[in-house]
Amino acid sequence: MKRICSYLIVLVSVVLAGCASGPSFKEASSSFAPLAADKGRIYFYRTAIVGAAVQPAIYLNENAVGKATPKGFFYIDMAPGNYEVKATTEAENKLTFTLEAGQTRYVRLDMRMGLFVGHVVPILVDSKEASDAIQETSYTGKGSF
Amino acid sequence: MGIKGRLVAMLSVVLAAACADVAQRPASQPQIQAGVPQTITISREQEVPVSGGFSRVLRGGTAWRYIGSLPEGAVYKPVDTVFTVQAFQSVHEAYLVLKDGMIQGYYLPAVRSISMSSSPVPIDVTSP
Repeated sequence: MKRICSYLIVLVSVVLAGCASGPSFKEASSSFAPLAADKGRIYFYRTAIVGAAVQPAIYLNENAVGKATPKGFFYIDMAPGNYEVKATTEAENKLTFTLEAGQTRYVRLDMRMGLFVGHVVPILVDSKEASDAIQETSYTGKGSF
Repeated sequence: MGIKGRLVAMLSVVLAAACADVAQRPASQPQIQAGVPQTITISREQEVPVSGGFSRVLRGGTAWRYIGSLPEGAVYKPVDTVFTVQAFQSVHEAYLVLKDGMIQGYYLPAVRSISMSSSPVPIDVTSP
């Protein structure tokens, strides 16, 4: 029993170590620069802890912009246009969407079972759903392009 | 993993790769036409088929704005919500393509393509 407890403590520690530890969305977002009139903003967030060790890079139009950190979020401001988000583990999962000037889009990074490794699947969600869920996450640093 | 297991795994990968993306074909830029309702509202929740045997739910009460027409029908974009179609490994933002009260397919704006419905689907909408 004692041994099982030790294993559980180690397991929980490993999982938590993989989670985002920055300021909460509420704390961080108050310091974000306002969105420029000619740009749109894209938030990426991951609420799931399951598969915490799997944290692939997130690509926006083939450029790495951040990582799928469990319980974490980041954002990037981009010119209006068509965008493709990609996350690759053993499989490549992608999402395409448009971005307009002044628009804010939310991409949830879901964790799904794979053959050998979990898959991170980018999902476009509406602001109503995202604005609640993203509150549970912590800032992992501004996305860069 | 035994030989049987490996074969199943390989078959799964091949099948998944075959269905990795939504069936689609290139589409032109939607053109504004006169006499088309500018906004519509979905009357009731409805499950609609998309390519590859997947389906999506259109929520009742959601509003959609006309953005132009294609030869396949009038294109409507969701207002204050998002709509996507997906296959195993890809998800695309999508707009409805309607003609004669039927969903003909889905316009994928970011890749400027259309994914046709396997057969037109009747849809209940209201327009002001």
